[in-house]
Amino acid sequence: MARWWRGLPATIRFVVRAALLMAAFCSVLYYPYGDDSLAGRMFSRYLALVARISGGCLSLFDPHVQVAGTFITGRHALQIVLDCAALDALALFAATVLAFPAAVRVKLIGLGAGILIISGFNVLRIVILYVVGTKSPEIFDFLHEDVMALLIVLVSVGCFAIWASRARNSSTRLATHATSPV
Amino acid sequence: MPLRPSDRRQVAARVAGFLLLLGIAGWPWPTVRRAFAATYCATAGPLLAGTSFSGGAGHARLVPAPMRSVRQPGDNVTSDAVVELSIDGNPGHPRLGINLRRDAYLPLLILVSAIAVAPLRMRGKTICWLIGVPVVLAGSLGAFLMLIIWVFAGGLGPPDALESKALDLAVRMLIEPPGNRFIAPLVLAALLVLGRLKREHRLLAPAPAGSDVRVVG
Repeated sequence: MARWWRGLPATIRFVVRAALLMAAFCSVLYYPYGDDSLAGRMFSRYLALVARISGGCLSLFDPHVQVAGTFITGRHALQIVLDCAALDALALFAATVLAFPAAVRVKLIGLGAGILIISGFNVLRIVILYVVGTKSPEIFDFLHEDVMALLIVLVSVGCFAIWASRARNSSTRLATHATSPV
Repeated sequence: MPLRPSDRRQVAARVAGFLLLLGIAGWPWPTVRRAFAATYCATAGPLLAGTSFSGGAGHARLVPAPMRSVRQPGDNVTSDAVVELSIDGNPGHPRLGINLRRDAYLPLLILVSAIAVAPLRMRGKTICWLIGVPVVLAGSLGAFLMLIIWVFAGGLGPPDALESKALDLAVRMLIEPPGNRFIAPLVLAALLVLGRLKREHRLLAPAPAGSDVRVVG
């Protein structure tokens, strides 16, 4: 079995590993936990944190903004739910980075940086949606359902592509260094 | 090996081309949205109508609906089609609004655009499109079927109403995450393009001296 697995092309092995990790992450993240369960409470706190950070950014230029739990209120009301927390984009990024053949340290650095960038983009997405909700509510749903959902996936794919090319370069440099005559 | 500046420029140009294609063809032109919904319903509708659910008693009909660019109260998404559900002996016909633009058109567009900007010859691209487009369309129809089975199994009712936890988890894992409908065509396009690229490189590689190999790909 192990021999058969190693005999598969590297790309196929990467895709299978990433798909299995993605399935595992999605089943953990989207399992219908009860509101009182530990996981349910943790997700609620995470969503409230996203709402608080986004509300904090919004309050810099809109003094009407208030945050209560997962609700952002002001001139336009938003509720941060599981689908709005960029968890699918984060799961995709984490699955692809962990499945990619690279050193553990390189993976950890990539994970940290990528999670920061994707989470930052998600806050920016919520801020943009709030502003659009107040200025042009007629395009809010188009932006929310189509554009932003696609953009955050592209940001996740872009982060992985940049990290993977750097990780490959650094491993090539290491290999060259290791084989060069001393 | 690090990318050379010329390669980087080429990659940037391809990414820009991909985004440009998405921007133009993905713009919410009402005519395109209406035409796609009508074509999809005309194609997938009969397949759905021929399928029965809940042990043969449940039926579903996919019909184009007046396009709504703003979400209606009680709806999860803006809709351009509805799935009308019915159960034998029950006079009610609950309707689920669905967004074919988001669930079928955009995934299709992502696949087509990603293949269009790939560094393949026209023949390779055509082969990728011929394989990828039916797969994406079948995938979107499969997602609707799964959703309908879930609804008939009590998915919209209270949490305890649904008996199959596996079905519930599958729907929440595959259909609920909004990004999945965009991730799947990107992955499929990447696999098709990589597979085709390898084949083209093999065919274009110089033949061993003395051998009589002709490039036919």
